Amino acid sequence: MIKDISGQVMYNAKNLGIDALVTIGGDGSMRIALDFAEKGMKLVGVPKTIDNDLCATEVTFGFGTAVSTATDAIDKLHTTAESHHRVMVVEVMGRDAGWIAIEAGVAGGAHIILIPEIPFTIQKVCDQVAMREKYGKRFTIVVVAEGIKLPPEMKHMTRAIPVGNMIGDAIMLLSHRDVRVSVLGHIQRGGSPTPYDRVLATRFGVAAVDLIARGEFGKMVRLHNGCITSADISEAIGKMKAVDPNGELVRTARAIGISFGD
Amino acid sequence: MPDIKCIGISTGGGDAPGLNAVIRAVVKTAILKYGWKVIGIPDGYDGLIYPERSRELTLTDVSESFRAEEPFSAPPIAAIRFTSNPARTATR
Repeated sequence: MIKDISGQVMYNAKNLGIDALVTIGGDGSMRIALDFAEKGMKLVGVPKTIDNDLCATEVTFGFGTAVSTATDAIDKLHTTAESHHRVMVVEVMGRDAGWIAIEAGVAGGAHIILIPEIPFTIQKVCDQVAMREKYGKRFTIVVVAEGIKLPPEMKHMTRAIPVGNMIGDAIMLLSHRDVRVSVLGHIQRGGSPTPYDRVLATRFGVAAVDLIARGEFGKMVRLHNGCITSADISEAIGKMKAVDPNGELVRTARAIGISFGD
Repeated sequence: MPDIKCIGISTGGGDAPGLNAVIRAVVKTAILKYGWKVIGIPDGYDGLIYPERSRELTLTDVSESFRAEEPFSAPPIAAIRFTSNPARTATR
């Protein structure tokens, strides 16, 4: 038996002497915040996700640090890949968006980037590995976003293991090359934030308190055209920001010879 | 201008680098600019189901905290995933 205890929560907040609440969170947390706002709680939101997949704000704090960590890992894998003639698969975070994968992939010099926004095939990935060998490059770095949609030939496989491992196995079976997989996981969520993330986070925090002071409840802070502004939480949630498959970032990556396996 | 004397701060979902910088900014602005009290609510909205976990955050609590993503020295208010939605659970 599950019961609604939101009344208790409102009572507890009042009992603690809390006049207004700053809630920091992603889409899910903002949905809950909205429920409380509708019940009369005075609150403001601060968007938080390392995946950068929120439409309401240009960028979120934590994303840059995650990209920085993933780029560093790709840099380090280059040496082994090159000396041992291997295909290196690196799985990065990003939920259903490929932001971390494409930015870290371009920054770290990946040769193939697989993202949820662009359908790919293992055959095309292996073709790219073979083509690099023709040019004397006996190694390939493949960045895989955790949220990729598996190509039809892999649909029968269950996702019991990280997708990076599944892609690695598939490349090995088809190309008969030596493949190694690194799943970066939660190291991308932690560590010392980049100066940009610290500054953005500080601007968000100050702006959130200013919103409360002005009585602008039910809103969340965001970065818009380089300035900190605010948006209604109700309008901000539920809209995912994906990588545009025909956008400038993807075209830039293609221009420097990066394959998306398509 | 609303009558505010005390604000709460809570975070939900996964960890993100920069989270402590937000908390630092909120605590410092509330205290230094507006003269309000700040209550740190741990464990997302769970922290409001168990209010005894909450505690006041002072300037000392947040000094130097922005550099790393480690939780604060005393009871951390850094991100812990929501385990429940107090408002929505009723309908399920």
